[in-house]
Amino acid sequence: MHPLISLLIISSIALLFGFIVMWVSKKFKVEGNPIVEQINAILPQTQCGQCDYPGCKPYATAIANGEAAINQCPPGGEEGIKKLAELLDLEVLELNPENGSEETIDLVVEVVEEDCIGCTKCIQVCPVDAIIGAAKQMHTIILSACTGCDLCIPACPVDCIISIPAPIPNTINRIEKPQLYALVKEAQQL
Amino acid sequence: MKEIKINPNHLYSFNGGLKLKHHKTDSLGKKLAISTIPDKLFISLRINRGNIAKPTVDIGDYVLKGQVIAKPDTDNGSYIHASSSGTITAICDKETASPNADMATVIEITTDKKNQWIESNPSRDIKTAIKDAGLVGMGGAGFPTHLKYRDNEISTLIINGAECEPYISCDEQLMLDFPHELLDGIILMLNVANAKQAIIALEDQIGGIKTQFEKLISDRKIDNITVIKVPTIYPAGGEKQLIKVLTGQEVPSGGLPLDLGLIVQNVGTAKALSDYYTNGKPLVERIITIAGDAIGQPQNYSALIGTPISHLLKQAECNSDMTDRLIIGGPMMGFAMPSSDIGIDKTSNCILALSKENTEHHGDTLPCIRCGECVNVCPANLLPQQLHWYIKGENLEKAREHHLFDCIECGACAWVCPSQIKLVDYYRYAKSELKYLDFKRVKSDESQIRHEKREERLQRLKDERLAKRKRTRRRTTDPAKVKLDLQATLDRVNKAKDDKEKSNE
Repeated sequence: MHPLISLLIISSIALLFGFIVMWVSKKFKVEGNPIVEQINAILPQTQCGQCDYPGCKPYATAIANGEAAINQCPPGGEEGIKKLAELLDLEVLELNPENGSEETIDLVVEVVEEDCIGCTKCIQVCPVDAIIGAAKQMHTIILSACTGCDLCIPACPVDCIISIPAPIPNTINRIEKPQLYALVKEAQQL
Repeated sequence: MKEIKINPNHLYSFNGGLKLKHHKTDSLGKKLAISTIPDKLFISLRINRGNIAKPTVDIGDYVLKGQVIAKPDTDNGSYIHASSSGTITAICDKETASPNADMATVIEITTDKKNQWIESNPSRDIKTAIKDAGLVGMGGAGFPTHLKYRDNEISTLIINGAECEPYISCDEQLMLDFPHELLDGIILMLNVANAKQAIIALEDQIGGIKTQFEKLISDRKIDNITVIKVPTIYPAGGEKQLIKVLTGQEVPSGGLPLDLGLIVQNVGTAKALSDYYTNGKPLVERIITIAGDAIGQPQNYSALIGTPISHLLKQAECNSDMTDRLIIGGPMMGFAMPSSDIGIDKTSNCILALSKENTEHHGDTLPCIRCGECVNVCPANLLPQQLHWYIKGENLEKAREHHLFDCIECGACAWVCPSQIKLVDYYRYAKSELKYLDFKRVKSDESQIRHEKREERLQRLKDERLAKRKRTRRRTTDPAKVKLDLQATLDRVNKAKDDKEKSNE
């Protein structure tokens, strides 16, 4: 066989595959960075900004780009750090105290309605649209939508927003973890 | 749907289980005692899984026996009736006779001892009657009964008379004393479910009830109700276990018996339905066993829902000095009650007063040695020790993957554990925590959507503002357009001037 024929066959096969690869990369193009979505799914979505980023997604993007550490999210707490470490195959870190500390109970906020002057300042900062109100009308907070990010507290000029424990549906009844072994109990008695 | 065949001579078995001492003879063999009316009734508004009904009465209202005092706010609940006539003296949060003695809204009725019934006119539609009567599963779980009768095709109705926990004998007493009412109830249920047959399942240690029922059934010429005895192995009375024993089939994980075309009902529920349908009496009383070694006269009592535990204990001659622990439910699955001031609810089948001798732990809890005894007895085919390790290490998601939610909390694993680990406490903890985490997950997903929508809206407003500014700027910078605009304005002004002059003239 003429060497040109084999060359032709090989190059046409290469060209064909080239086209297939081009078509596939166009057809199944992934929009955005999928790792950002996965990180964002672990973050608690409080949008509180305690991580020094303006929301959960920007923080997720920063982690994905290697700009931020995984220990800057106080609402996610230890549990969140563990999950992030597992996802990204990083070492588990202690929560960075500069970003704040983990709350032991879930908190949301409430407007002390008799003190509210209707300035709408809190509505403008609420990241999840959980505050209802209009200018010179009393405002109120949808407790089930409030994430407890506390961004509205500094925004209020008359300090009428207070933290309260988050309401939990009656069907959820948290019970304590059982004590560990009696040996621990004995150790405490010593 | 698979055809379900049940052969009384060929029963199946479930994995594991325990053979326990029965302790039932103490409370049986006596007539059913009728409890006196207490001064105060504490009626809990908690319905299954922590849903709470909304009171329809106010403090100070006078209510008659059988009057509706609370309604559920979703379909997933049941009506609650006043158990006796009297005045509502309080509606407050109080401990209830539920798992962990959860706090829930309780209506306190100060009775007038007249026990006067409200006039009732029960619906002729059985489905509505079930709802109006406030029926819930009286075996323990308290699943609202009307939810079982959907439009599913039902082949068999299983009436659960297999009371497998030690001490409890209220269902046996009910079958002995009210066989007619029970059969009436079963026939009504067969009608509404449109089922071909009903099976009354009994434990084989039970005495002459089978012959009694068979005689009644042949006397009344009923051909689609059969009585079957199942082996006495704890927990054969569990819904899923009973189905396995009778049909050899397993209820799918996370599913209901409805998925197999079966409905399982406690005998008490069937009797309560007939009470309402034929006599117009909603579910305001139940039979409850009072037993335990601190009780002088162990016996079954017919008591009003909401009767305080202390009132029943007094009648059964309880030695309060000897009592170390009060338990609602049986010794295996029951819950310790913090005080005797709690009213019984529709699912309370037994009160146990146990002395120190019976509650004391012999020896300490020791580490798990992975002996595998618990795996051998688990009737739900789970791996109790593996679940224990996961939960201990806070690896709750892993426990869920190992079907933690299929655990029926029967306590067989803790019973056989040589290290005396309170395994069920771990499972209850993990279940409650997982439910809480799921709730948080849903909430965080919602917040994410709200946040994204807000960002979208803010971006849109910003774009619109920019576009508007661009438009105005273009108008002011394009010389030809400015000239046109100027001309148009001048024309308008001149025209207005002319008009004014004309009108003045």
